[in-house]
Amino acid sequence: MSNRGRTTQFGSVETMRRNGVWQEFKTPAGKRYFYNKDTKESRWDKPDFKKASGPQNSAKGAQAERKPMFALELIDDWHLIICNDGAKFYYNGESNTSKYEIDEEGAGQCAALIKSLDKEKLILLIGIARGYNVREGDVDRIFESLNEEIDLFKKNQVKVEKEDEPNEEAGDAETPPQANSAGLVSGYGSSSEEEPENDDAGIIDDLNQIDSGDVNERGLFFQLFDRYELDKFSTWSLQCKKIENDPDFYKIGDAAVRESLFEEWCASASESEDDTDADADADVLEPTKFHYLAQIVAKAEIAPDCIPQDIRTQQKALFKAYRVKEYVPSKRDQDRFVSQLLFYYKTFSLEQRREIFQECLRDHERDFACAVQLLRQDVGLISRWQALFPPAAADGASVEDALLSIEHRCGVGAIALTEPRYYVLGILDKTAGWVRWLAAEGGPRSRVAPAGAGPWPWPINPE
Amino acid sequence: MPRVKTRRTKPAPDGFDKIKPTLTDFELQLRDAQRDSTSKLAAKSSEQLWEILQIHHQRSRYVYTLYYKRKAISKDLYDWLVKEKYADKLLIAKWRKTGYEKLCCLRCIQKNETNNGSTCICRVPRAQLEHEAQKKDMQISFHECVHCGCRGCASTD
Repeated sequence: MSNRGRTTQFGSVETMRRNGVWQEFKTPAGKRYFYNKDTKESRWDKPDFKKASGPQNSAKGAQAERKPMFALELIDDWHLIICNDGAKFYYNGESNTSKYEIDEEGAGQCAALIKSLDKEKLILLIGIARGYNVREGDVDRIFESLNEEIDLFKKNQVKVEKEDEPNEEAGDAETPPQANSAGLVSGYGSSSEEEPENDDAGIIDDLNQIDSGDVNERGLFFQLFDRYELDKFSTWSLQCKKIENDPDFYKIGDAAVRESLFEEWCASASESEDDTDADADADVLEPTKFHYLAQIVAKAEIAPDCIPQDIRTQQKALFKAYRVKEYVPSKRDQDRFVSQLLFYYKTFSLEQRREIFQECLRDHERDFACAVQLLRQDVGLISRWQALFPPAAADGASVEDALLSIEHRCGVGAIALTEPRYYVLGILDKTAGWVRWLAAEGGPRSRVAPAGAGPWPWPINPE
Repeated sequence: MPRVKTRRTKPAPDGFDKIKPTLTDFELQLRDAQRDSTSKLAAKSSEQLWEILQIHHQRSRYVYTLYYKRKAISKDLYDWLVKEKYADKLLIAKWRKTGYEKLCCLRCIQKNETNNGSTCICRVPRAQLEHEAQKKDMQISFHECVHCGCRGCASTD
C-alpha cells in the first residue's frame, strides 16, 4: 500500500505563500480584520486572495490549492503527477524539472508510453484525484494495473530495441534508422493518433458527464422524496419503506448513497426552515446581555456602603420581572457586574457618568465606525430619535425601543459584553447619550465644538 | 429505554411533536424484539439481544443525526432527549470522535474483558480483513461479532 505513490511533500510551501500577504488579526473587542503586509491596507471583510494579489500572484494562488495525489513512474526517471484538481504534469526526478507536456525529442519514449496506457483508467484516476468516490481497494487495483501496463511497455521496448539493433547493424534498407520512435508510436499508440493532444479536453468532458450524471440522479431522488412527502424529521430506515416500491428508487444502486442523499435532503429542508425563522426573529430586537441588570442598578437607591447582595434583596421583584436570570445565568457573574457598576455609581455623579459614557463610545468608535457612518446618513431617523427628548414627552417603551434599535444597528455586541463603562447610565440617559453622540459627531458641529461639550438634549438638572 | 414519565418529568421542549412518530415507531420495534422468543440453540442465544442493541443504536443514531448532522432540532430538545434516555449519551460522544464515526456499541471498543486484550473484530476495516485472508489464502471467517451482531463498523467501511 505504501508504494502507491501518493506524494504529499509538494504543496505545503505554496499554501504558506497564499496567506503571506494578507494576515488576520483581531481588534481588542474581538472583531476579525485583515491586514495586507505589502500595501499596509487593513479591511474588515475577507480579501479575495487571487484577485487582490495581482496577476503574477494569481497563478501562484491557483497552484497553491493544487496538491499531487498520484505519481506514476515512467521511463528515464520521468513521473506522471496527477493533482487533486485533476491537472497532470510530468516531473523528472533526475533533472528536477516539471513540464505540462512531454515533447517527442525530450522524452519520446515517455510520450509513447503515455499513449499506450489505457485511457479509461487514466481518466478514472484523474476523476478519483478530483474527488470521484470509489472504494479504497478499487483505487489500488487501478493503480496497480497501470503500473503493470508500464512494466509491460518497458519489457516490450527492450525487446524492440534488441530487434532494432541487429537490423541497424546489418544495414537493412527496410528499417531506416530514424524509424525507431515512429515505429513505437505506430505500434503501441493504437487510438491516440486520431485524436492528438485532445486528451485533456476529452478527460474533462468525461468527468463532467460523470458529475452531471450524479446531479441528475440527485434531482430525481429529491423529487421522489417530495412526491412521497417523506417526513423530514424521520430516519431513513423507516422512510425508505415508503418509497422502495417505486421504480425510481432503484436508479441508484448503492444503499449508502441513497441514505446520504436522504440525509442531504433533510438537512437542506431544515436549513430553509431555519432561514424563515431567522427572518421572523429579526424584527424582535434582543437587548444586550447586561441591559436589564444595568437598568436595575440605575433604579436602585445606592448608599455608600451598598454591596451587590443589597441590590439583589432590594430589587427582588425587578430581578424577576426582567428575567435577569435568562440573560446572565450565573449569580456570580451578576454580582461581579453589579459590583463593577456600583463603583461607578458611588464615585461619580450623574454628569460625570455621562462623560464616562461618551468616553466609552469614543474609545470604541472604530469598532462600529462603518455602521455609525451609515446610520448618520439617515438624518430622518436621528431627528425622530431626537424628538423623543426631552423625556417628559416620551414614554419609556419608545425610548427603550430606540436604544435597542441603535444598539442593533451599530452592532455593540462586542463592547457590551466586556465594557462596564457602557452601562454606567440608565436606559433614558444612555439613549440620550447615544442620540447626542450620533447627532453631534455626524454633523459639522463636531469639528467646532470639542467632543463631549455638545448640548445635552435637555437640562442636566431638570429641577 | 426511555425513562418512565412521572409528574416530575419536565415537559418536552418545542419540536418534540415532529419527531414523536419516529420515536414511537422505534419503541414499537423494541417491544416486538422483546416479545420474540429466544432460540434454544446455544450459539444463537444472544441473537435476540443483538436486535435490541441494533434498535438502540438506530435510535441513538437518529437523535444524533437530527442534532449534529441535519441540525433540525434545538439544543434544548436534544438535551431533553438525552436526559430522558431516548439516545445513548456515551455512544454519541464516541461518534463525534474521528475513527469512531460508525461505532456499533460501546462494548466493542472495550479492551478489558477480551481474550486478546484488543477491541472487537468488527472494528477491523473490511479491506484489512480481506487483505489478511488473501495472504493466508483463506476465506474471511468473520460474519458478525458476538457482542452486538455487528458486521463491521470501521469508519472506512
